[in-house]
This record gives sequence, structure tokens and C-alpha cells, in this order.
Amino acid sequence: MTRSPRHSTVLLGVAVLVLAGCVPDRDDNRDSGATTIPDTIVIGSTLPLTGTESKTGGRFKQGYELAVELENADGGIDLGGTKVPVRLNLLDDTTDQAKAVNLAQRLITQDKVNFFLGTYSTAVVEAQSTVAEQNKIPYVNGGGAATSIYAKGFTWVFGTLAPVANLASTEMSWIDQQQAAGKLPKPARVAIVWENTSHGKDFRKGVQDFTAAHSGGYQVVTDESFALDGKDFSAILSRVRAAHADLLMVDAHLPDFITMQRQYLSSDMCSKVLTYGARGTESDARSALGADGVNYILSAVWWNKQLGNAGLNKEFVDKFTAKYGTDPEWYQALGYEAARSLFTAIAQAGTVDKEQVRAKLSALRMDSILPGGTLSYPADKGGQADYPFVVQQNLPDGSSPIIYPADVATGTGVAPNPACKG
Amino acid sequence: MSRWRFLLVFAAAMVLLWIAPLVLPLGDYTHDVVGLTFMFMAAALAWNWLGGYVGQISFGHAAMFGVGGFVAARLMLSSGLPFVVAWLAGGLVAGVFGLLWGHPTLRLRGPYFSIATIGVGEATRLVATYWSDFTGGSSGLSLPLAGNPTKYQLYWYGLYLLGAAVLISYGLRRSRIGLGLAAIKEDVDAAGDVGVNPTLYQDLVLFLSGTMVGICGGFYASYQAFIDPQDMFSFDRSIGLILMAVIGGIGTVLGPVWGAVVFVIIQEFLLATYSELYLGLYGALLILIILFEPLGLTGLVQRVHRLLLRRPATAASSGAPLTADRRPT
Repeated sequence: MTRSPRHSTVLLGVAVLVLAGCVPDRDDNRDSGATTIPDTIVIGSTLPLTGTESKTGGRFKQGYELAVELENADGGIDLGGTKVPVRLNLLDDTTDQAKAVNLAQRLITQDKVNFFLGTYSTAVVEAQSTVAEQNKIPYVNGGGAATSIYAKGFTWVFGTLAPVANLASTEMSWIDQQQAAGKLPKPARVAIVWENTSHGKDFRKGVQDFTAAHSGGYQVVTDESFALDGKDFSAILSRVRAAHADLLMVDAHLPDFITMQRQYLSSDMCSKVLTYGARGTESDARSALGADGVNYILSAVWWNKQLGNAGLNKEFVDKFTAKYGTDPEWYQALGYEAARSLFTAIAQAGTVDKEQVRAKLSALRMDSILPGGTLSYPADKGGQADYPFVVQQNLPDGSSPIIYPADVATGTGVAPNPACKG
Repeated sequence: MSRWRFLLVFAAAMVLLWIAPLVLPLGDYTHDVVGLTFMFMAAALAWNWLGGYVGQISFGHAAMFGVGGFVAARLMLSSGLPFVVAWLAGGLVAGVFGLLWGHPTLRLRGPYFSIATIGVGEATRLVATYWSDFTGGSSGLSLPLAGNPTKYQLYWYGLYLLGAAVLISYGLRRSRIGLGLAAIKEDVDAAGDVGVNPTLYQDLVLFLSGTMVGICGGFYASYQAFIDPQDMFSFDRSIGLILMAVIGGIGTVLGPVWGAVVFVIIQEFLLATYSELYLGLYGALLILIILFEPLGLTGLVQRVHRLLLRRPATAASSGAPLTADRRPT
């Protein structure tokens, strides 16, 4: 019996339909890493080396590379008595979330890196950390601060940046002291301007929680958000000006900080207290805006080189200065500590087995250059480190002393901004 | 190619592609990228229904891609709907959204319609970026890993999506509607005179195209497990769909499929080294295609085929668009 082409096609069509009902899967319990000792431990990473966050990405790269260099200077990571050198496989994610995700996927599934050091900026880390969780690879980052990254129940993601809400409340605590000293009006009119990312939302929450807990002391008169990489903030600044805000509390990343501050200055605005969250002391801002353009800006940061001239801090600052010829900022310090904590956990595990290293990271408690002197990734915070911030302020002499809290202060802050008339 | 021969080849290709990962030693990464390429092929084919068959070049299809992706993501996050249902719902919403702006703007022709779609795409991106309660703003949305298909499984879902898009492409082209679309592309007034309802046909095609691109957006959301407005609604994404169609052969049934392959290969090859260089390469490719082979890879293959068989070019024998403006060769 011969079959017509129509019959064959129908049969094939039926086969396709049958197949369409099925989607194969595989056992997802993949090998969590070699139990034998490798020749080299390969750390995958991406950073924004080009694009809007390239300046900050370059700083994190310095921190990562210094940590790797210092580790290798000693022969590498000690795996049960054998020193194994570390190699950093670092790619440029161009400050693009989708690209950061795709590159991480490639590094993990194609290049088979052993562990991962995360990228920079909350929005990009938020995207990329999902890949680490999907592929069950320890992921330590120094660039993602928003609590939403750590509230997803992920178990492979660890962050060295303390929550942004703490940043805002620490700044507000200093402001509260100034208000109590009669230097700022009571109630003070507060303008909150925040980037509409998880980072900005945390900052806004920090300010709102503080003002709510100190009712009578503060009145929020403006609450505005903006998209990342903005070009024109004049409408927002006009509303802030119209609201006669005393305190302008902005949360912005470096490019938006520089753009907004330029427009703030050209609008001849002057707030009694002005902050851009963690930004303010960067040399790029000083060169873009001029030394006078950044005077009296308040910022709260995760690390400052004035924190100590002894121990780990001194070692880090000296080695950094010797290698790069400049002083480190918090960006490099956080990159350095993220890498160092990963290396410490690998050494404690004595193996490159991912599951064992993850367990060591979860239980980690190590001496650190960060405020408080100890770094850990508490499980109740979803793997996000939690430690106090330091508040610093740019002064006309070009310095940016730590002004709060008192036990680590290296200078005295100024409020209200003396440049403001009236 | 006769209908039965086409369906036979299609079914055989689907079966082979279905089995391929189970018998070939594809690495994890290659497997995942091929799955994603299937989705891009489907989206490029869907763009071609409007841009190729009707001749209305849309620079705003990222709007439907993004709407579909975010609706699907929101449904998965808030209602726990199965992902396939969420993709379909996202696609339908994207299709309706396409109709909302398309019904009035499709009265425009040529560059005027294209300019309008640029506006639609950018306006949608801005609204999505600031609508942070729905899209998560600049931070975007993370999808739950539980209940979402794995990247391994998405290969086959991508293949089914491609299969559906190919069948619709072929069906549209061979149907009475396809003839109507060709007539509209040639002369919209004349088409109306011979009984074709241009408004109805164009609306229908835009709805179909928007729905398929929206479903692709849902697929992409599941693939990345994370989406943000800047990526989903980006102008680059709209341009990408156009490039795939132009490289492969705009207005042809399968051209955008080959265009998507070239697009992804170039992008992947340069991803880890010169990740921005691909835009320059695409630009150069576009100029070469427009100058020398307006039907892209499909035209090139047909040209070689004709040379080998020493046959003169005819639209009917080549499977070229019924109304393609082919340069004399």
C-alpha cells in the first residue's frame, strides 16, 4: 500500500502535536564543584567598565584586582595545605542589566567559573543575582545595597553593602542633632527626591520612617522620584524650590548626582542641608562641578579611609596607594572586601565545592575594614551585611571629614549651609 | 513550494529540532542561546507580518514586547498563574494595546506611520519607567524561580513559539487575507476599490503581530527571570526586530528566521569582547543589503539558486514577496 504525501504530512503533524505536549527536563542536581584541587580558582565577574557607571565600575575593578593580587602574592588560597592561585575573569557589562545577566550566564555555564563576584549598582546586581541563584553558584557583591535583592529568599547571594535605609536614617540622625542644637528650623521642611529603583525606595523609606518617628520635628513637603540616567531634573528642582524645603534629601547614583547638582547650582538654589545619599566626595564630581560646586554636601558611606590608621585598614590603604597612586574611596574598599570575604570562605571550606563555600559564606564572621570591624552575611538579613554608616561632609578647604557618629568623627559638620542667604 | 511540501518540511524540521538537544552534545550555554534565538525568530516573523506583508514599517514593536512581558510577569507574581497562561494573557493585552495605538495610526502610510511608531514606542517606555508600581521602575521586576520553567525547558517552549509563528506566516501569506495585504502594500486606495477593507486587514495583522510579540515578551521575562523597562521597551529592541527581518529578507515567509540567526550569532560572538561593536556591524550589513540585495539572505539564496539552475527570476517561482520592489539584476 502506498501512502500519499498528504498522509505522511498528517502523520508528521500528529507527531509534532504529540511532541508539543511534552517538554523534557533534566535532573537539576548538577555537580556543585570538583572535589579535587584545581590548578587555578577562576572567579567570574562583570562590572560596568563602560556606560553610565563606568567611573564607579573602574573603582570596583581596582578593589577586586588588588584583592586578587594580594591573595596571589601569598601563593593563592590555601585549600587544605595546597596554595591555589586565583584568576579573575572580568567582563564589561556596560551598565546594562540584560548584558550583565547574559554575561553572567556565559561565565557560569560556558566558562565554568568556580565562583562569582557581582557587578555594581543595585539595579544591575538585582538582575544578575538571579542568574547566580538559578545556577547555584556563590555570588558575593559589593555593589547592591537595596534590601529587595536579599528579600527574595535567595541562598547563594551575599552582599557587603549595608542597607540603604540605614544610610538615610544615619544622615537624619546627624540632622536631628543639629536641629536639637537650634541650628536648623523645627519643624524642618523636607524634600525627598529619589531614583525610582529599589535603592531609591529604601532611601525614601529610611527618611520617611525617621520623620514619622520624630513627628513635630519634620514635615515632608516634596516627595519626587526620577528615572535613572536622567538628563533634565529642572521640573523636580522647581517643585523643591516652590516647596521652600530646608532639607533636600536626594538619593542618586554618581551620573545623576552630577547632572542634578549642576542644574541645582545653575538654578541658584541653596538648601540648608543637601545630600545625595552616598554621593558627594567623588573626585569626578569635584572636577565636573568645581570645588565650590560640592561644598557642604552631606553623604553617608559604607567606608572612609579616615576610619583608622591601624590594622587591616592601614594595610588596605597602604597597598592600594602603592599600587594605584591615589587614595581609595568606599567603592574600592567594598570591592576589596567582597573579594576578600569570598577568598576567606573558600579557604575555610578548603575546597572549591560550591555548596561548601556557600555554607562558609553563610556562617562567615571575619575581621574587616568596614565600620564595626566585623563582616558577616546574616541569614536573617537574607545574606546582606549590616553595619553602621559614617556621615561625611565636603568642606571649603577640600576635605571631607567624618562628622558622625561621634566615636569615629574626624571633624565637625556645618549646618545650615553658610552659603545660603536668608 | 506546494502547501504539502512546505508542511512536510516544516514538520520534519520541528521534529529534528525537538530531538536535537537530546542527541547532540550542546553545552548548557549554547542550548539556552538557541532557545532564546527561537523566540527572536518568532518575534521577527511577527514583525514581518506588518512590516513585510503590509509594508508598514514599525519602529515601536518593543512597546508590545514590553507590555506582554510585564503583564505576564505581573500575572505570575501576583496571581501565580501558570507561566504559559500568563504568556498568552500578556500577548493578548499586547495585541489589544497594539490596536489602541495602531487603529488610528495605521491610516498613515510610509515614513509617517514609522515616525508615529517611534513616538508610541518611546512614550510607552517612559510611562513604563515611571509606573513603578507595575513595572518596578528602573529596578524592574524579578520573577519567582519556582513555578517558572528552567532555561533548559525553555528551548522547547521557544521551539513551539517559532513553530506557531512559521505556520501563521505561511498561512497569512497563502490566504485570501495575504492577497489583501499584498494589495494594501501595493496601493491602499486601489485595494479598497477592489473590495479589500484596509482598516480591518491592517488592524487584524497588527493585533496578530502584537499578540505574538507580546507572547515573546512573556517568554523573555521567564528566560531572564528579571525584566526592566529600559531593556524591554528599548528602541534597540524595535530596531533589532527590523534588522532581523531586513537581513533575512523583508516580506518573505522565512527570511526573518535566518535574519534572527545572523543577528544572534553576531551579538553572541561580540558579547564578551566588543559588546557595542555589533551595532556598527549591523549598520554596515544593512547598507550592503539595501544596496545590493533588498531581499536579504533569502534573495541571495534565490539568486544563487537561479544561477545554478540558469533560471530567470520570477516572483512566483522564488517565493519572494508578491509585491517586492526588486532591483533589476
